[in-house]
Amino acid sequence: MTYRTTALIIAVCFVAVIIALVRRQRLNVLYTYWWTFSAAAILALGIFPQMLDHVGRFLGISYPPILAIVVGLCMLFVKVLTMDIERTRQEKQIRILAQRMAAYEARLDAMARE
Amino acid sequence: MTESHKSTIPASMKTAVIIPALNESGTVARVVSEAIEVIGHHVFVVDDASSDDTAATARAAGATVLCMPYGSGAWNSIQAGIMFCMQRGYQRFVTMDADGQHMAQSIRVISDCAEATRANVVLGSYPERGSRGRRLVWRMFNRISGLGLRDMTTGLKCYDRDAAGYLLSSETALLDYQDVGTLLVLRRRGMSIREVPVVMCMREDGCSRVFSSWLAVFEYMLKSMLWILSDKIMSGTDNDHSWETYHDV
Repeated sequence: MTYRTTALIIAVCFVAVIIALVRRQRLNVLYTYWWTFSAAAILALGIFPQMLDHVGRFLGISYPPILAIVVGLCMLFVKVLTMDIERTRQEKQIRILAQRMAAYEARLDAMARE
Repeated sequence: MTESHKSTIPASMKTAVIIPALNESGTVARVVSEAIEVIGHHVFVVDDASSDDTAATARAAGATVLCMPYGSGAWNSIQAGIMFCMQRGYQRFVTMDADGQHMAQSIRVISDCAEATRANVVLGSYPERGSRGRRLVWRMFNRISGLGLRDMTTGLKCYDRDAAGYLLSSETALLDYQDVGTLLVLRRRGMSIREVPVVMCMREDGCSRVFSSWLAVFEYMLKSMLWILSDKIMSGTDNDHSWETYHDV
């Protein structure tokens, strides 16, 4: 098996999983865009690996495959960071919701007693 | 409904006592009934999803009980209690611990001090209670934060309505302890903070939740340091918040 077929198989599997998840509405709209874009990039690189060589040469990188790894890592970094930001926002919401719920429950309780 | 509750509170005494409790069924009844003797039926216990019958015990002792839907920590429980009492029109909010280390008379001491000095926040302080290591930590935090308090980790605090409003914001919802972080938020909002000496008992059972293990101490130190640092960066950049909306969520 060549490097090219391995890349192609990985890319196709990845794309298939993402399309399946999107179709089943398991991914939020914005995440759908992110992952569809990633899937398209992976597929394109899987089919035309020589693209990387051209871009790498243009950017002056002597070993082009490292370019894919660096770009991939950067994208993952952005993804994880945005996930943490989102998680913090949700944590805040959940905490405030819990407090409101406790207060409303106590109010209902007091009303029921009157 | 809010109006009918307001009318039951004497105009001269608009003080609510808020007691966060986690598995304190052994002491909470006595703490509640002693507090009721001092302040009347304005005692609110916030049960932080205890696994024992803390909520029922507190209710039987005469407190109004709020139940957190899941374990949220002492600070978030206090926020829930303050929000509830804000809705009911209270003017002053005294927080105390459910483990019996604070004496009911201190409620009077601390609210009298708030009345006399018009300070937005009054801390009941008893610096003698800390171990040597803990006092060293307090001194260090005092030094770098510039708060200059003798006992900033006390659970006995009195907030007026202005201060309490600032405590119900989306930024304070992420705090975990009611000491350095909240005091820095209040200072940033221009609230005046005062200390009044009170006497406390030694803990009757269990140990401090904040300092339960070395890992917990480490977590506490890390978080507090971060709050002090971010306070240094943030000061003067904040907008006003309004507690009714709890906005920017």
